[in-house]
Amino acid sequence: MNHLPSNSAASTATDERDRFEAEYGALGWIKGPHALRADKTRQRQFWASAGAEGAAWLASRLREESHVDVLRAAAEMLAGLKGAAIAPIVAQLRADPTTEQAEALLTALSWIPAEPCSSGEELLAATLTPYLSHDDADLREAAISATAAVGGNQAVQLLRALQNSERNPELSALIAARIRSYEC
Amino acid sequence: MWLWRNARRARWEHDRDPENPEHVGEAAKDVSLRNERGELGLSVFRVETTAEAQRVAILYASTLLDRPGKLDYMMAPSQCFENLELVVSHRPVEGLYPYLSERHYEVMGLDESVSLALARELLASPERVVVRIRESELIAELRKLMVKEPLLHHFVGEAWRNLL
Repeated sequence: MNHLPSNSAASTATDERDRFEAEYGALGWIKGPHALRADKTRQRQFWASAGAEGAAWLASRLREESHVDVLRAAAEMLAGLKGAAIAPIVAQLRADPTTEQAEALLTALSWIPAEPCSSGEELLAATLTPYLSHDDADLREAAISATAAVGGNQAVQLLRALQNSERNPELSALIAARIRSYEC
Repeated sequence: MWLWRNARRARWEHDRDPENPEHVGEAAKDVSLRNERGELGLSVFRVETTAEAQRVAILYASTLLDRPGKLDYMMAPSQCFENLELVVSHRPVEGLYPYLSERHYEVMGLDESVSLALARELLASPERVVVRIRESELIAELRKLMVKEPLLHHFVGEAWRNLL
């Protein structure tokens, strides 16, 4: 009796994953039909309306990705989802991501402005903390920029805690610049 | 002559060892085709000088990437491609900013093993140049370029224009 609805639901979920995969294949091209301006606009609109499910799929899909243009474009699409992308990004960042995946997710966060009085601020800050002191300088840099999604005093506190320990002069300068921008 | 390629800096640092299969495998990710999506040639931009390479980087970032951020790129010595007898074909791309389109080439004949061989060749070359341009520098240079090249206004993304 329940088979029909259950199969139907499974089929819908598969259709959705197939659609996400097809749209994912359009990301990051500089030539061919997917590089055309109209198609880029369509891609942005698709992902911006993909909601939490689309964000979760995309953030997870990056685990298998290594192409720099695709990683960058996917980060841009996640950022276009704004607040809906934060929980899926946090979930992936806490699930032992690959280096490339983590950098792309942190980059996406850097483009999502902090929401005032967001309930997830504490979790987000706690998620960023290990990346801010990571051995990989690229991940530290991405995490410093990702504090933009935390914003305000909490972001300043996170960065102030790093000021004496960061040995890379470029990253020290980035920390100082970020603190100045959050304090303005 | 060099071939400019968008790349992940960490894969090409000068401490990377061409005899280390892990390093070669990582670097090969930047010189591999998207086979599963039907890509036939690896996109590169032909440049003669470091100044040309920087200009390609500024234009690549501001006209092809939606959001401002840092950009890493490699200047790959063309000799490395010649050593493997790879064909590098001129392929202007309609819709690209003309400076980029004119310099767009594709490296043909790549498969998994050739990409690994190319990565090994490039890692062994002391002449490869790997550069990171930070967002602030990209924006400062873009601002100057837009004064000289009014056509660029039609190609630069909105998020970039908002920062100028």
